[in-house]
Amino acid sequence: MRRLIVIAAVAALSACREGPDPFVVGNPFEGDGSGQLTFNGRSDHAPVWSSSGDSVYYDAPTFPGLPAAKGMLLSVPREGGFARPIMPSVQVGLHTPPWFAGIAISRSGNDAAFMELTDVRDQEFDYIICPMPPFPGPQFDSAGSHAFLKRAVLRVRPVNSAAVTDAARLIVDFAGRTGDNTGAITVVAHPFHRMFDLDGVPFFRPSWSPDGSRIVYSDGSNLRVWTVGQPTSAILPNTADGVLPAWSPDGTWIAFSKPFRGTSQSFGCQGWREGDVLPAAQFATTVFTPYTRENAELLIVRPDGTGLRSLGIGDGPAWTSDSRTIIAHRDDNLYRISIDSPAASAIANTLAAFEPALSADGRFLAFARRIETSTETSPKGNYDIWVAPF
Amino acid sequence: MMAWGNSFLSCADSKEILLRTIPLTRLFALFSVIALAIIPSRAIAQTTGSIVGRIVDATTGAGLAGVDIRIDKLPHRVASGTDGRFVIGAVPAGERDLRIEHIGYKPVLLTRIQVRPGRSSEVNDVRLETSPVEVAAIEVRAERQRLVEPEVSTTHEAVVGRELRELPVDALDQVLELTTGVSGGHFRGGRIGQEVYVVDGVELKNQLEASREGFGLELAPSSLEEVDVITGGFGAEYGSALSGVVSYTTRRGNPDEWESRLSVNTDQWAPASLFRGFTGLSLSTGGPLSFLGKGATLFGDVLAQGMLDADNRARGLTCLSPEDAGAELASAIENFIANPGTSALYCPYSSDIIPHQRGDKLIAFARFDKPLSETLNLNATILRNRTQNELYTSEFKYNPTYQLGQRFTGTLANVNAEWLSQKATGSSSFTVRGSMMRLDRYLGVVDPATFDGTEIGGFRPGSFKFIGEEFARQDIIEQISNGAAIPGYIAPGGVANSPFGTAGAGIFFTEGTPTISSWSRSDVFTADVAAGRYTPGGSTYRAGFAGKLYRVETYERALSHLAGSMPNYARFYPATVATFGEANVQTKDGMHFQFGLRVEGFRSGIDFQADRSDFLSPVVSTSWKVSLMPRLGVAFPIPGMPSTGIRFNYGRVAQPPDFRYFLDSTIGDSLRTDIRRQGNPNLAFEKGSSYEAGINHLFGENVALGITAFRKTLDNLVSGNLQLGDVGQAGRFSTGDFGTVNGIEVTARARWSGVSFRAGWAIQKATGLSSGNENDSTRIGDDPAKTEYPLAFDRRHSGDLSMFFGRGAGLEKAWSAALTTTVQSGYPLLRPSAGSASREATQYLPWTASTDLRASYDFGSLPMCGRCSWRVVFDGRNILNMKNIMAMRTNTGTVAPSLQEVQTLANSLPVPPESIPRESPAYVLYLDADRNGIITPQEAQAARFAAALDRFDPTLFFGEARQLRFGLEVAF
Repeated sequence: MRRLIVIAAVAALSACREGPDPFVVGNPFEGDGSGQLTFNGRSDHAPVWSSSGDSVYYDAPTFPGLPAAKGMLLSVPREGGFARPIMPSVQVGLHTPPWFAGIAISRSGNDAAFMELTDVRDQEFDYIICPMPPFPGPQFDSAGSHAFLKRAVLRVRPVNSAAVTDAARLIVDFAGRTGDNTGAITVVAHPFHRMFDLDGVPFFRPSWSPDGSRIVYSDGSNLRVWTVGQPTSAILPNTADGVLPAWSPDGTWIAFSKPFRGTSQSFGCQGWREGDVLPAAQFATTVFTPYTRENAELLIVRPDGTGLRSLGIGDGPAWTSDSRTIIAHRDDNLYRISIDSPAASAIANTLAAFEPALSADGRFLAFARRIETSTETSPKGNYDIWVAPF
Repeated sequence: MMAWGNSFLSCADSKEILLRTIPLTRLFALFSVIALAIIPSRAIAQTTGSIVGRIVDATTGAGLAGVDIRIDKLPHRVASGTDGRFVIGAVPAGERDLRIEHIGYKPVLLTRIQVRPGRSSEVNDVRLETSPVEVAAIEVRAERQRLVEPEVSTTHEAVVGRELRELPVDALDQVLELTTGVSGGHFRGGRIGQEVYVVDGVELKNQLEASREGFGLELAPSSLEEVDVITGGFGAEYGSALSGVVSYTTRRGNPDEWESRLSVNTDQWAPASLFRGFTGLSLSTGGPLSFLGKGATLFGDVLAQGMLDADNRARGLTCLSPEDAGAELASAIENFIANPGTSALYCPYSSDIIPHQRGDKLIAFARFDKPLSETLNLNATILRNRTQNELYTSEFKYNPTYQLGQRFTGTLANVNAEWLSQKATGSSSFTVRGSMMRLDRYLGVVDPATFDGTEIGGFRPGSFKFIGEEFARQDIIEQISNGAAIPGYIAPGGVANSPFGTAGAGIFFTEGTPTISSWSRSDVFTADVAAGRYTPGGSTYRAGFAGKLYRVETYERALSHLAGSMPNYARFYPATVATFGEANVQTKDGMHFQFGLRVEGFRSGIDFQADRSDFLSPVVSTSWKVSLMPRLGVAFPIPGMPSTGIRFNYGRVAQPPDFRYFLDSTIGDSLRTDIRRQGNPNLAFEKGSSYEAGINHLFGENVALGITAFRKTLDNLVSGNLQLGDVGQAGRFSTGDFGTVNGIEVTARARWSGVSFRAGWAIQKATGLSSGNENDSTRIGDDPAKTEYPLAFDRRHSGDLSMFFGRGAGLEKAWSAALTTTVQSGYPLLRPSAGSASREATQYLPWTASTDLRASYDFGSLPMCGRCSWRVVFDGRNILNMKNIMAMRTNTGTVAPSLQEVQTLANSLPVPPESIPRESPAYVLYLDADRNGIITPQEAQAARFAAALDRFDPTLFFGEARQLRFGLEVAF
């Protein structure tokens, strides 16, 4: 009996229990597996993979819980989870948060190249009337014709650095509006403007050369190649109106898409602000119509500008690791498009998918999916980031 | 801010307070002068008494002279006088064994004589029988604890060490609660801090902040010989108290052999409903130090307790249930639960015990005794405390990283030299004591790294680390000139980990830290001398003098995360002195008279500017405040009724106000720091008068009943007039509060074989003017309305019961049990003024009660350790599982707020301007009613009600939780 009591006593006294766990919010992503990584009511774009393949980087307008920036570079776990700024030291805690977009990760995974949009004409008018009455003429979506990119800085910095200075930077100027605010304004609505304004697509998205020494990007009018660290970049010949470039893994090709430039039409327009009895401005506008995201040509070109080839309709290309196949948006799906033959095949379950990115191990495909549902912040629908096995 | 020499004082926001301090060289000089001055004179409080009696021949009845009488395990010894009478003076309080030997007579061992501080314990005629040969001593049980004490004019309750070790208590304040008239730390309706503590004769008090933090030092129950609690009629030797005296007598080592006791108890094994995360270890050891000569002894005691739920008055983390609420709110809650879209938001988090309540306690005590000669004894004690715990706050309950916490450390070192002359004609003593005490408190944000270290059963050997403590404690001039925020403090905010997400913004801080940092340190050097004379007739005469010098530092910084925010800092050097003379005269016909006079003085040591808004206003020098306190008492048996004693006493009482009232205060008792008070270094004594009359009667031999009526008038109490949120216009501390406590206490004591019983009931009413009253903020000015209210500490009724069975009642049994019960009526809920017609409508909180039981069984020796014995112990707290409501909302009379309060708070909470996507750190699944990955503003709006409801959670409204512990004790 005594022995039993001693054993029981020792067992009881040697027990060691933990206290109550502090409250932890349940993981809302557990067991989801739908592949949808983001639900932002505004548009998320340009996914790329982290070097480890665990996370997807993308750019997005801010949302509650993040600094009030117009655009941020975020990282979201591949399995789903909270999005966090990739480079907090330059995105969080600043009085005026910068507007970042279009990130590219170097092959080594150490460096990131992205654009900081520094000079953007915000929406100056609540609505635009074109042409000015009483002259009749075609109406168009005025929303896309007056918020123009002017300038950006292409920044290069280590991905995980806490430093606030860049490793290299380059000023990028975008073509478009001329004149001043006195009314003598001439606006040219290039396709890239409308792509950015209507769909929020970071057409300028940079892409690293495999050796990490050069970056190709679009200024909207052309593709340009920048040797990192140099003060200027050079136009890549034969890439007029080229956007969303992608350097092939073997370094021999640059793929890009080229929105079709239709017939230009010029109008005299009035810009109105809500409640005013007189227009705020009158200006001349030139618009290339029509514009839809489906309306782009997929091309490849050598890094020196030679060997330009069209691969047909296609938008937002990404390369497979063998540099022989391109994944691009076509016919409202993602397609595998061979550069060696006309062969092309749709990828299942990629309806309304754009801007594909293939993980380094080739197992997963990330893309921006367009959702047509109207939201408060995106009346015309928006894009969310998805991941699917490849 | 200004500085003089190597000391200075600081700043209170933009307003400066000029406090002149004493340079260290002057401090030491002053200390030396006082030390020299007191050497020829005495001290302060007593923890010794005397034993008087007479030794007679059992055959003839004649007194025997020259009988050797000594106290076991103590150096006290005397020979009886010519008529057989003897007195042994200066005997430490507690249960003592008296060994009586005379050539030709059988020796007698008189056991368990109760020695009371400051009083004579009389043993009736001890009859010695002749014996031609040497025989072993005959053991005779003395009268044990006397059921009535007709010669005692005070009201007191004593718990001896044997009982202390059997009681279901973890700390001595739980023992004090078993004293009639003591309830919730209030002594006879007085405020907290109106009592003084006496440790081995040294009078101690947390003079800086007793009313807020209590004594500040703690002794382990296992380190004590006796606890004596005096609630009325205390003698002139006790000062700095308005309402009570607690006297501790520490244990000393056994001079004959080493004795040790190791005890472990825990509830780790208990089921979840009884698990509170308590583990305690106690080790006591004591014995002779033969190499230092005969009689040299050492006693040591260590108590370590680990707690996962440091404030076990909480029932766990719960949420408001419809049953707790009024009809309207109950209906709203039920509707909320019934709605599938919102039901997940109701009560998203609860637990059996509260998180963020980890803590531990360490008490180490050592006592050294050494007779230096036949008449001179030396003892030295050292006590070290460390109590540390997290502080649960609703605002930060969802913060996964940072919590408030506090750490108290205390150190007391005492050296005592006592000269004793024990003669049959009388005993004399002269005592010189010197002591040093340091109390240190830190309140701030606990560094999460604290919990990475070693931890055993919730106990951490290392001290809590606090964020930025080093910075907060650095030189104040450097700190202010630096101007930086306290390193590591972060502005509170965030919504990420709250179940209510953005709907809880502003009421739950899931990121950042609490903003408070506060610390205080007080050092006190005490020197006192005392002289006593004890006569065989039972009279005692005592006188003494004591002086205390303090060095006090306080620091408060309410907005520690903000660079440039100013701390309130002060360093100053108050002092107190006291002297007393007292005679306790006992006449031959049993009359007992007590005459005493006490004089106390103090000075704040702070000079200040008369008008802070005018820098040209004169600087006021604070002078010495002096209080004269006569104390009178009489006790006697009713003629012809020796079993009935009557007593009366009267006394003036006074205590210096807490030193913290000399200083500005910006930090209240919550995160809302808009309560500002202006310090007043010129405060006077808090004073009062006490009247008491009592009667005790012994029914037969086993049951005694006592009734005491008392009246206590208190005036000059410190009043902190409040003015909320009005920076720079805060009320100033003054001595404008007053109060009256009238009460009746009934006590009963009984004993039978194997059972002893003690119970008490107090009915008291406390009214007065208190700065805690709701309308207090309107009462600023020199002529406050003298309107009386039932005071917050008005308890009206309180009862206590202690029962001991078996070994605990003195039987030589293997088993023992002790059962205690405390019961109290509730605090006043609504307090209409005394003259109001609605006074009868005063509401009180419900009654509260707790019953605790400790039972043990001794299994005898252990294998391979013949002298060891071991016991199994079960210790249950609140075994009847009373759900005691400790607080209610004064405007509703329930633990829950009104529906309107909840809605008002809910409506003040933010609604996100746009939808929150699932990838947002602000996204919380609970809020996404349709689970579509988007929290719409409409969904967030619904969550505001739940967040407000959760903010009003009833945590901490409930009394001690039921728990059951299991333990082992080994004596060796």
